[in-house]
Amino acid sequence: MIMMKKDDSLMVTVRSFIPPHPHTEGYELGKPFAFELPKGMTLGELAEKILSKNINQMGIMAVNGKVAGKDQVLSPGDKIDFYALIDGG
Amino acid sequence: MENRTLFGYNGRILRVNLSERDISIEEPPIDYYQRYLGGRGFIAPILLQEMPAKADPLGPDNKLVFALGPFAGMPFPGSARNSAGAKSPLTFAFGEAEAGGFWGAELKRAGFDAIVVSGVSNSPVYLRLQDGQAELRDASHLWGLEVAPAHLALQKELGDSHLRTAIIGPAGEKLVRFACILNDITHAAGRTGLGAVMGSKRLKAIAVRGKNTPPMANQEIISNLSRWMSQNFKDKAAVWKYGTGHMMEGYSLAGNLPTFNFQDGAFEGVKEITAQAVCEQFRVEMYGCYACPVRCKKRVKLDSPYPVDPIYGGPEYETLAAFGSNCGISDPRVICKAHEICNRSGMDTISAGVTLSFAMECFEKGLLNPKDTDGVELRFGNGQAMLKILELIGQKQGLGALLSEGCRMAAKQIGRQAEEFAVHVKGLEVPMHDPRLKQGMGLHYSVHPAGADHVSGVHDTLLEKGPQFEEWSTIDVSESIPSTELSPRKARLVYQFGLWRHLPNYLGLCVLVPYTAKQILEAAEAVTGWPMSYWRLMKTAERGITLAKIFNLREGFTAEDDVLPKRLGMPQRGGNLKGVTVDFGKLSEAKELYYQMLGWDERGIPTRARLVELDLPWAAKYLNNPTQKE
Repeated sequence: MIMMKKDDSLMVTVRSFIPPHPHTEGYELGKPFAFELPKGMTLGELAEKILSKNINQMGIMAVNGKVAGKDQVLSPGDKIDFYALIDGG
Repeated sequence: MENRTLFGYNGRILRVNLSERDISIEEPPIDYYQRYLGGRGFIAPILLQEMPAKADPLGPDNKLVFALGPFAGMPFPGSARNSAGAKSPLTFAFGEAEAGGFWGAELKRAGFDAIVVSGVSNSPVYLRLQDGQAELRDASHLWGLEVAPAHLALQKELGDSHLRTAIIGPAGEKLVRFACILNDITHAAGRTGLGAVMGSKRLKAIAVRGKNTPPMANQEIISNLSRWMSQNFKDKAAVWKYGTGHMMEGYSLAGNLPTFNFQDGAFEGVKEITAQAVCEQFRVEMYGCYACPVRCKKRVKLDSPYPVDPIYGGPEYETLAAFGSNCGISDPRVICKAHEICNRSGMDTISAGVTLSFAMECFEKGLLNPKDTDGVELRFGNGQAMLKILELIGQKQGLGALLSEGCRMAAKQIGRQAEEFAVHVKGLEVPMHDPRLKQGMGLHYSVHPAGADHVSGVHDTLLEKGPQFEEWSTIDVSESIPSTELSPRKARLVYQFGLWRHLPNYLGLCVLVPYTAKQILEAAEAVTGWPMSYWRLMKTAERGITLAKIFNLREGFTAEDDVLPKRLGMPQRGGNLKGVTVDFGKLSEAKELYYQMLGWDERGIPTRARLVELDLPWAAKYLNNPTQKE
């Protein structure tokens, strides 16, 4: 379902495997959470806003399951994923 | 402050000659500690100076070294790692691996900085260490036991439920070439077959207890660091929630998830096999290592269709990918079982998974047939078949006997084009980070003396963006380079940042605890009391790399062995990296530059000047008579 907010904003769903720093309300690692953002915001701007100090951990971003670049303008209802690309063990 | 010259160390190395049943203590001078620091830094000079060239890795001349860095056992997060090393029976080169848990910290408390095991016992034994004392004891009753029963039997025998063990399972006893050593049942020193070396010496276990942690030079700094990390780790990194493997969907999107024996980098069934999926269905708890609040280890339990005993922990990322996507398996229950089989019998999950994916490709392409597999349809995605053959590997029976040699030796025996499907470097199976995305990691895999090791390698993706350079500029890394670029400046990154990536294995530090470079530097100074600098620490890592390289040169390895397998020069068939390869021409150029930055000539032989600069002039004599590899 596409969620709409005020005329000048829209809702997206964000799932991040990188912790926002400082903590963002509603965030739980690897779980989708709803986020309101201004119309016209790009994916890169959203990542900076949410992850803040931890943006350096960003490895790859996806919108609706597809790899996306930082300049992509976001649309209502987009499902956004943030991943680091370092793992091990 | 106590009047002593060493902080963070005990000043004692234990020597155990199993042939002579002789135990002695060595007390190295302070400059030994300052020059080599610990961990991998101790292993390389011991193997080079004390082993004859061309020693049988499964014979009495091989030395098995367990070594601690100054951080090991100190009371702050990430200090639980110990190193192990020997000539590898899998690669015939310098072999090393690290493990966490509690055993390494306990060894420090028991009064030792390292253990050097030589010779071969004529009957199974275990080594018992307690508060500075060491004794060899009969292990006939433990021989043949799987890892957990052996651990529990030792605890019962010694009447100590807090006894810590480093132990081998039946795979190590049977000399499976990628057998591992397990700390406290679930923490594996996995790579390069050190479990087989321990098995060849008939040393079943090293059981340790101690209660005296050597003092640090500045307790207050370490206490503050420990407190800071405990309060902040959840905001700095994500690994505490599901353990490693939580990034797998991103890996697949990026083309970095080895799939179908490295033919692809994206896996359709990835969502089923992530750490998150495993935790949500099968996790009973998260647990951790000594002094660490991160607790990134997952413990899983299954009742059906494959009972999985939670005593064996749960799969990490490398295991999830090696037995999952790389074998075309999307059933997490199969992966959990494969992980349990490996920990029960004591095998490295990366080498086991990649050897199985190699065999699957051989089967699908007609190089192995049902006669070879006793009728098992060893195809990608067939979980039952994979588990059946994995059990046989641990027992060295049927096709398992062939595959227990690792994919390189198995490919030689199978013949025809099987070598094209064997994804290894110097015989060590490639971990789950694809060099077609992480091209600097690929360069590291190719040149690293121990073969394809991801822990000490550079993850290119970590250095692709901008803001982190505030931190890494301290070690003179300040340029943003695309992951898929392979170039002279990438070679510099692998040299410069690579030295820093090696360093945790010298200090005894876990890379999953999110310290900054500055914090690591301060901790090194606070523990040892020696004035530290980035330069000094990185030079120590360079010293270890150079000595390990000389070890390999003496064994007959050449620059031609510092290459990547053919498979990685082929394009992935789909996904984000469709068509991308490692350009072997560029790799060769980068390798030569990397050699030169290390002060090595085009053959990879260290120059006399660099040996002198590293304060290793004595090592030049081992370069005098490089002979041909057999």
